[in-house]
Amino acid sequence: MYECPNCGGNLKFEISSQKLYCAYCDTRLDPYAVTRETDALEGGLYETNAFICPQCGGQMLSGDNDATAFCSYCGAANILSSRIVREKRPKYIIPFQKTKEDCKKAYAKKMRKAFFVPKEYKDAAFIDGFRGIYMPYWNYRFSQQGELSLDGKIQESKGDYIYTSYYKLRGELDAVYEGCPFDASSGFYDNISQALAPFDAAGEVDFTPSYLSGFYAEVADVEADVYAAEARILVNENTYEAIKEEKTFRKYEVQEHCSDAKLTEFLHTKSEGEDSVLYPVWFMSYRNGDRVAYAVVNGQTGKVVADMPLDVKKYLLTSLALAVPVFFLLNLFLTLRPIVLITVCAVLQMIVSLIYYSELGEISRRETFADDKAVLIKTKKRRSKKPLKKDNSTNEDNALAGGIILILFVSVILSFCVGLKTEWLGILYMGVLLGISVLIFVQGRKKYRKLKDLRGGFGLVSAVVTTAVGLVLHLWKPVSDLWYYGGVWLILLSVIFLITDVIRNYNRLAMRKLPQFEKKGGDDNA
Amino acid sequence: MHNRIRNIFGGMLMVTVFLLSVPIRVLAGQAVYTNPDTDYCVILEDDAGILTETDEASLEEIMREISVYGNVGLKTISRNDTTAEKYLEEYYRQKFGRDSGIIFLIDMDNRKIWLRSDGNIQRTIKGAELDTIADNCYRFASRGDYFSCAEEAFSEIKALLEGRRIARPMKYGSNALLAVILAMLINYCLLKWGDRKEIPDRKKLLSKMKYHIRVVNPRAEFVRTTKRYVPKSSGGSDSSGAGSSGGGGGGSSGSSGGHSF
Repeated sequence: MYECPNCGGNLKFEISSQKLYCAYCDTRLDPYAVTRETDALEGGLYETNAFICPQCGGQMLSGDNDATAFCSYCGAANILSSRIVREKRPKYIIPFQKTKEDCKKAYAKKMRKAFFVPKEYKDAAFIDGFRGIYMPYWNYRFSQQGELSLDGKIQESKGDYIYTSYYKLRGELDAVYEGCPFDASSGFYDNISQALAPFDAAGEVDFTPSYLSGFYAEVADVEADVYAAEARILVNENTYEAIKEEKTFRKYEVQEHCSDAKLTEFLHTKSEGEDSVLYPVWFMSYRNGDRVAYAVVNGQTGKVVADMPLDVKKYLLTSLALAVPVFFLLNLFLTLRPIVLITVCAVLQMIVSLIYYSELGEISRRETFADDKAVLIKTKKRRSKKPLKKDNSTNEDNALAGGIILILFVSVILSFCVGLKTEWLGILYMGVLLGISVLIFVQGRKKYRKLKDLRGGFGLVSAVVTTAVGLVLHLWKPVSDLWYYGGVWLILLSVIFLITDVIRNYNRLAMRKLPQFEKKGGDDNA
Repeated sequence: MHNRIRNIFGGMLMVTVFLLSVPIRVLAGQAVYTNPDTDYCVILEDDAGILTETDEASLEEIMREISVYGNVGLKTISRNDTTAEKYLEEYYRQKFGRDSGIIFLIDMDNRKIWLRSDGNIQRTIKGAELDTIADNCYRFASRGDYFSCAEEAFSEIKALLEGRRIARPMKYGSNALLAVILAMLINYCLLKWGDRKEIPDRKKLLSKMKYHIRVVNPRAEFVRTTKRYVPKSSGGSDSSGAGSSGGGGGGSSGSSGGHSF
């Protein structure tokens, strides 16, 4: 706690004035003018309070002595234990520019378009739970200085000839990057921190612990070298694009460098180290059962990034209400022969199967942290410090997409070349749809097996079975329409079954597993 | 002289009008009834011999009521070397030309019932309605009750032309399920749209970072020039001559629909 030199009251950082403010004697002070002995210890350390959640192990720092009533990470209402810790002083900090009121307004504006979130997620009392937290980032510094030599060419055609003139594009490169930020907290998910960017580096000021008064700070638990490669790639690509756009070089077609290693060598990219910085974020968590959703607001720009949990009941009721006008519209404009209707429904089923498949992939990536390098390293599943590569599931998705395109291509060629009659065209389409359904089922099953406690799972099987029924009806051609309508309803029920699975699993994507920081004991399943 | 030319043109015009009205005249000869108010005709040709005289009389009664709106025909055949659809298209052209009308065909050879409409009637009874009528009456034909089949078809045609509705139970059932699915999908799209987390691109990220890039003394040093022979004529398709985008061989604009039985 920072004491007011006039009255001894608790000084807190006031966003509107960017000063430390004493509410008791109405005094405002420069944050750099108020220091404690423990603010600058040997080895670049400072002393502060650490509040630890007994349930998830999440730890937050604060200059205040008051314990918070609930944990921002897991949403648990607990009395957090506190202890005094020594932390490394960050070099810079961007103090909060947006007040809590600004943050609440921005969040409420975003929620106006969120039709399906639970009511309490928009509730004023709940929104008041936003907490100002400084998130740690690594600011990577790079220099690129040295001789440049690129191959460039100009092509022009004269008469029946194309003339190609080759040039050496030369110069001395002088580039300096003073800070390329990547988040340094494993508790701050990459897909949130990336979406919350950018923070304006012009707002950075030298760090002093009094800025934390009235706010919290997340502990930096990601080593500096984890994102060094990603930062280097960003810098290299940017410099290379800038060189190509240089006034003298612009008219030449410049050779492409595809690999980062080649670019690093060519641009003389050199790491100049990294600085620890703190960026301001308004943070709120919403817990529902064993899942938690986060809403964050950039404390400098006011940009809102929020998970959107789904109220299934609200979704289904809204869908039923929307189905009424859709039903009347369909009756006005759609009258299909039952045999055609079967094919249309099978196409619809294929689309929903693809949505389900894509959802499985997303869940798989999210839960194995394939898209969050910091967590991967933290959970010791990955030791490599190389840039994050596409995971295997991307290859599986590509294989599926390739398979579908191939099947469609062959069927289109067949239908054009052979000149099929309408009835055989129907059989061909159903055969194609069955092939695609089987492909989605085979690939989807691989993904499904990787995931624990996933609801549903029979949707893809029913898609294959009902599409096969549709194909049999096309081949059999019974006279009675009842057979066709039976097939149509079977397919449509299977589609409803599939969509229900998609919706039920949606919250698994929209919300996250409860965090379990390096905690020992406690209730892991809480 | 002028009067003579006028007489010749007048005569030619009369011949043209006469020739144009030939189908109607031919039809009038075969028609069982011609509506005195509208001049629309009723044709009833039971070549397959599947209707009794009483059946024909009953059907003619309903068909007469339809003749208020256009020509109307019933044709049954026992032999057909082509499809029911093609046969009816040709038959319609022969009987009514492009005049407003509707014909119901019972093709015993292909075991199909088929309907075709054109002109004013087609504006009310399009392909979808013809399919629905066929769907609603094919069961009678399956049972061998061709009179009821035709009677149901003409009753529904009359109902539609009078602005009434016809039953489409299966359509409503399927559309209800389809509507629920489409509504859920629309909502899912809204859900995903609301949940998107836009990650700023490289330019946006770098616009807020502190950095500078400078190329000192930029210069381009000439190395060499190569030339490649690419004759211009080999690349393009300088095709000359007029192509024709044929218009499908003069098919008629009518709607048709039918069902197996």
